[in-house]
Amino acid sequence: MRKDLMRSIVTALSVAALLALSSTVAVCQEPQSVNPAGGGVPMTSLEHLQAKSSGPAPRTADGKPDLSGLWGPDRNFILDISAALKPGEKLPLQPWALKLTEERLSKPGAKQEDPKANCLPDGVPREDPFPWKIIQTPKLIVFLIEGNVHTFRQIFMDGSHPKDLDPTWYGDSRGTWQGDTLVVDTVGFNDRTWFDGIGHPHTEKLHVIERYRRPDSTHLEFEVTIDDSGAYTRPFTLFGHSPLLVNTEIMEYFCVENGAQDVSHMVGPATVGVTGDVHR
Amino acid sequence: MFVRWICRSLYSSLVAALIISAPFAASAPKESQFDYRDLSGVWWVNAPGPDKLFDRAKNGDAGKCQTCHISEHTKPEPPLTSWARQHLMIQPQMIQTKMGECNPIGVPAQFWYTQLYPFEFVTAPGRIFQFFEKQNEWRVIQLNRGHPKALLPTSMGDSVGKWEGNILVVDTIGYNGRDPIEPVGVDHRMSPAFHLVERWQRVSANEIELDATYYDAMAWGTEPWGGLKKKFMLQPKMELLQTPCSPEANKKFDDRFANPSVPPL
Repeated sequence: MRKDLMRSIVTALSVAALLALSSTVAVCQEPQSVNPAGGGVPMTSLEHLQAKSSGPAPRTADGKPDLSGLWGPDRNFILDISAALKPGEKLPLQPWALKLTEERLSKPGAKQEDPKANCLPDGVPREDPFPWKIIQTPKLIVFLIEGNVHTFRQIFMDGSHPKDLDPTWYGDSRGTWQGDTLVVDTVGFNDRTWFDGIGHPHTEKLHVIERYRRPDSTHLEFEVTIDDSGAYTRPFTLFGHSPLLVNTEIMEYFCVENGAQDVSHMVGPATVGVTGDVHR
Repeated sequence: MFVRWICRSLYSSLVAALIISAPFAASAPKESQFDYRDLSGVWWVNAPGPDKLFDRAKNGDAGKCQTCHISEHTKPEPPLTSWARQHLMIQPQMIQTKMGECNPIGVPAQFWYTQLYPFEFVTAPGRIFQFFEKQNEWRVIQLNRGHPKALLPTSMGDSVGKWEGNILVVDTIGYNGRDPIEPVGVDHRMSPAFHLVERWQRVSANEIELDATYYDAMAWGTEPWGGLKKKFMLQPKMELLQTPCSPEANKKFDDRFANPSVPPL
């Protein structure tokens, strides 16, 4: 049912969602019910799929917490990651990064440069209003990503970062267990992704440390510490959570079939202002 | 990791590919250390590299390789039905365009790309995931169910698997009928009736074999197209690279494909 719904409305919503982005001044502070970045389904369509009853977090045969499952997105990681900071905290953008963010919000056609609009990967920690899935094995953990790019991210559990890393969209991720917390250390990013829909940038100096916990069977909690001395004045930490989704599965979704054509519609300047509360 | 980028870039150099493959093969597990039903791991053809493709290009087809027929089938394609000739034909250039625009590849077309890109099997309870480095696509092979009655047509189709002895038989239907069967060499796309049967067998600690048969009643009537056979070597130290599709990368690939004298990427 979710698939039918999505297929039938995804194209129409992509344009409508862009309009929502352009006209909603308070979009950074208020909960969103529509994909703000083009393409996708209303977040509310996933809410009824959230698991209702909960129990202890499952464990794997080797005693580790089992993070496997289909997880819902955290809306604070879609449009503006500022929403995932602690209350009252602000993103410590360097002046050039602030200027670039403002340009991405106001410059005509800037949204066309959003990698997401071009069906390119989101990178870390950006999310989309789609489910995502964790596959957990002792040596490899994989995040299956339904969209905007239907792809996967690998977290290797048995090694350290190679020395000669080529910059990539998701970087090189190495995981370890610290008690019941999965700690993922990622370096080797390219600088082409945007952190979110409004275009917070980063550089190739980006170093991300994620901490994932499953406090019970139906919830995933995570912290994402961003350290990028090229674009931010200090490290900062984002806080998120995802609900377990049931009675559904990741569906096949190819951006190029549903959203790439919308790039041509992304020609007008956004009317959302870069507010000091959010960006300074 | 860098050497594999080199391999991609030096398309005309089979020597480089062989040098790369040697250390991986040397560290593969011993014969006694494997389970015939465990397909987990990264696999690649035993002579990785595009030598087959670019040898063809060097032998006079440079610039025209969209029309090359580089078939790995051991049997000829059955004759097309008249309906297929009317409805499924596609210009080779259009296939390349679809790929260049980052359209889905799916299976079986992904098997063709394994000459250039490795893939990985990851096993989980009740299912096997197959990750393809090319365009970073993936699919799920469900082990504990049959095909649903109502299938949403997709590029990957719906794959279910079962073990017949030590052979994993994967049955895939539910295609949307929009995609090429293979990137080159087949001048028509699949129909929505396309039906893929794969037989995967781990024949040794370091090697698995694929034997694939295509069925498409709308394209070939009752006659299957069998005989696609490929061998893959375990790559214990290899990790799949990030190769998301982008038009710019595809253009570089096409330029290189068409003209081996172009400097490596």
